[in-house]
Amino acid sequence: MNIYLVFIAGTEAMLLSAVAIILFAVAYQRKQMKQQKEKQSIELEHQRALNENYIRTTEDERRRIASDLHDEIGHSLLSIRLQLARFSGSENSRQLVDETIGKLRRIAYDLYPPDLALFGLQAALDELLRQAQQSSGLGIEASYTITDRENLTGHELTVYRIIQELLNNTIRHAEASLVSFQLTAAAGQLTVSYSDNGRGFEARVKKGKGLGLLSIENRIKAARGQLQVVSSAQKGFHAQICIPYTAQQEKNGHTENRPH
Amino acid sequence: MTLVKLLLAVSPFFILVPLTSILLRYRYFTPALKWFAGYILLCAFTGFVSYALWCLKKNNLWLLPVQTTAELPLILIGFRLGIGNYKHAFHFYGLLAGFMSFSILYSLVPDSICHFNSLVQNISSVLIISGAVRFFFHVQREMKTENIFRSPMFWIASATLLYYAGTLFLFSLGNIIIRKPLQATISFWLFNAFLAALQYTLIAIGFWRSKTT
Repeated sequence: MNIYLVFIAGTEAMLLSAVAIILFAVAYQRKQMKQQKEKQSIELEHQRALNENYIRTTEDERRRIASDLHDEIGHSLLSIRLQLARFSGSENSRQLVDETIGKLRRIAYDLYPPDLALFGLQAALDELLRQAQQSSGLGIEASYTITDRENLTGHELTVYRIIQELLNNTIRHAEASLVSFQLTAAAGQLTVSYSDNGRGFEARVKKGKGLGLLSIENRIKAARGQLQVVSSAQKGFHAQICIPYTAQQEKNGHTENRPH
Repeated sequence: MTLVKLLLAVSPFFILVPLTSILLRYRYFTPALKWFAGYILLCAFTGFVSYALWCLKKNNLWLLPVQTTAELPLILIGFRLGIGNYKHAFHFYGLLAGFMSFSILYSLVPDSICHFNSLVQNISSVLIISGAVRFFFHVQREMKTENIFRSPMFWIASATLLYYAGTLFLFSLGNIIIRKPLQATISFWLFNAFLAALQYTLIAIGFWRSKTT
């Protein structure tokens, strides 16, 4: 038999088999990775939907409890207050009822801020900042650039809760003297930029205190947004949050800077 | 013909490509890659001695059993570590010990060092091809790398599979080819040189990729 023929045929068969094995492995692995990515994407979306549902249910429940506290227990307490006034109840009792009514209002407000539904995000945040400033003595600088307020409705509560949590973290753990944040809502993108001049993220984590970052992350994930945190010990804390929303025709645009 | 001579003269120096990769990337090597680096060093050593003997016009075929005996454990242990499956260790090391004993005994047969050790070489090639095929089978089932081209082991397995599959018939027919005049069989050795250069280049890519994994 011709040696050349044996060599060419045999080597050709072997090489073609080798190349086929390599190409098959590459193609199969790519297909598998694609399927795995799709599976992960579905799982993530499912997780996000569950998270969103949980947050919505929690907020609905908070709103209901706040409403019940305000409408039922609040009114009952007011009646008691009037009864005490009418029947010349003791001053101590009246004072106690007044304090209870005050506490009840504050709890109801914390559970669900009525300003948000009545006057919008900016008014609710202004009230939140005013309260934070009053209770902690923090210097707060806030600026808002909202060009399409109508489209923000679905995200107002999310942003409010995030700022509330960030402020709580700063007040409780950061030992900061100044907080500044910018809220921008334009062209389908809602951006919150939040900074404080406190001890920084690492120092707070080392101390083992709850940062509520998980809660913030969950809310951002549910809204399909992104969170970036830049912080190191003694160098303050900075968080940038981007949440996309459906932009319609931009109208009634306004920019406002409001030092608190 | 000048081009062919040039290619044959240059081909031994392709070993410098993976050697450079080893020098520059060794600190990133996994245990599996270190075994393949050992294989390249073996090739470099036998290649150098073989070239020196050829220049001195002395028989260098005795190097073949040395290389065949040593390369199989280096490659197969490399694949075993690369796959990360440590089952059947007794069978695996038993196979290696059996092959090495057989290879050494075969090389002691009188006159065997003046011929191609086709039988041992073919067994070694088949086992290496099996190791590479097993690696690709493993890739299909378990590999977690998002992009397979970033995996050093993919390049090394491809290199060894292509080289040993391509040269299986060459070494099987080696003792027939060697008896023919050099001019008539030059294309065989040119083909071998091309496959060796391809193998070294692919292995060098694999070593270079070690940093990204």
